Amino acid sequence: MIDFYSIYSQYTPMIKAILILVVGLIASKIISSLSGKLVTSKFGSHIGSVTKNIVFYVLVFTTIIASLEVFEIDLTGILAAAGILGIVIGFAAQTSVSNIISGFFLIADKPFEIGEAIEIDGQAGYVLDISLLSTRIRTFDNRYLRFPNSTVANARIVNLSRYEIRRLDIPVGIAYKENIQKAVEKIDSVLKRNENILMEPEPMMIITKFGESSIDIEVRVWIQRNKLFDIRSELIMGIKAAFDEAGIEIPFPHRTVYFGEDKTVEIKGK
Amino acid sequence: MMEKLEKETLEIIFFGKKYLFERLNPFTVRISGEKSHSIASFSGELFVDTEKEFYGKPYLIKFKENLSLSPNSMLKLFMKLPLVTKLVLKSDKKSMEIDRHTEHNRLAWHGEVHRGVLCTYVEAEFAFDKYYKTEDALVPLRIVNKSDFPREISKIVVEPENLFLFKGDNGIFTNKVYILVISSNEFSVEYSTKTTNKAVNPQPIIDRKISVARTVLTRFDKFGIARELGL
Repeated sequence: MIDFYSIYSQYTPMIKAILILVVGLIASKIISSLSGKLVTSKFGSHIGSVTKNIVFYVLVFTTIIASLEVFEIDLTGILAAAGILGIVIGFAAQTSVSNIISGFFLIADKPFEIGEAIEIDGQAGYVLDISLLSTRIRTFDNRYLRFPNSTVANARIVNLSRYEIRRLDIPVGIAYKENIQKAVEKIDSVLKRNENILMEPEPMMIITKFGESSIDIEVRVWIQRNKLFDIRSELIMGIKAAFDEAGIEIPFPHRTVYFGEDKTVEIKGK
Repeated sequence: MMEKLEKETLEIIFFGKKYLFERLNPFTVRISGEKSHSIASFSGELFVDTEKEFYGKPYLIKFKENLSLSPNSMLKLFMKLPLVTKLVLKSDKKSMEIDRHTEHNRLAWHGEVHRGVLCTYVEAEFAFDKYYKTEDALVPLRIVNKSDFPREISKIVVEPENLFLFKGDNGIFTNKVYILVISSNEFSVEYSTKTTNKAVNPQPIIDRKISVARTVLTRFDKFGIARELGL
């Protein structure tokens, strides 16, 4: 006859450990999933998924420790060894750790989000992913770029998608002999005709300076950010056409080369 | 303008653009515009019609004439609000938009440049008498100055999602809009659930099913819109 009691007595610690592991793992899964959902609803999917992973691994680690304690194993030595191992790994994986910490800062600081158009150190594109180690973007000319998070954290970031409208500045130069008022009126008529320019904030023109070869005017208009390239082309073409029609000269820099002494060059033709 | 597609073809002029509707078989209609052709699946009795709709964005309305309100006074007038006109092909069960005509294509930003809303820019006229023959909607405006000082108002923002649209025998009307002028450049807008009693036999075109008056506070701050002079 099988003596179940003696079997149970013999394997009690193991059964307890297995139970703790099974219950602990199920609880870890449920708690991490719930915390992930809670954080996602408040802070977005990316922070939610990071929180879910962190909570899960912390709970799994705690479950393993708890199940080992059933066997009355002294964990002090293991934990000390783990600590030393952690320091060694920390030194070896300094760059990765730096990237992970930078990743946390990026997630918390939210200088950009997935799908936004950004510029990092002069490279512009759409954000594809922000992971713990790196940020990946697809450039406008369809190249795939991966930036380590530590680089992104220290870089100059321009978010091109954050605001719906933006200001477009177009510098225009007119010759010194031209009538400034007439030129301003011509530019104004071009701006009024362009339906893509916002009526408010109103467009403005500033006479900025006496340039090297021209009187410089800056045209400032507010536009929807996704129409930047179209409107810039339309305005440059429109202003050029209006100036040509009115006979207003757009000068370009002239350079006189001086040889130091009065020298004449005789050019002989056939 | 409802026209029934009875014969094989039907020609429609929609704001100067010619459309030809051609019934190819009982289930298919070819629609030919000046620049494009398409084939649509449609069956049953077919009609070509025009429909009115509000512009999709809020209206930033600049009054053609500035309104000056004396202390403790109310101004009652009708404002013309432009509408989108759609050309639709419809049967008794479904309809399909073929084209749309928008008179006002300029946009304006309301609010601070980093936190505001994109609006349809309209320079609105008032209608005081004989306003009935118009393609625009007539908004019964009630502008109230409860203060002891004269106030001026030059522009307002009206949210189309708070407006009903009624077609009366004498024009198209919206619900009443109350504007309370708080101080210079500041006001609140309240939307009533009723239209004017001057609308004869009004039938709903757009009914939002709003049971209570909606209030939207809108503010015009002179310095709210950034003027980044040389910065």
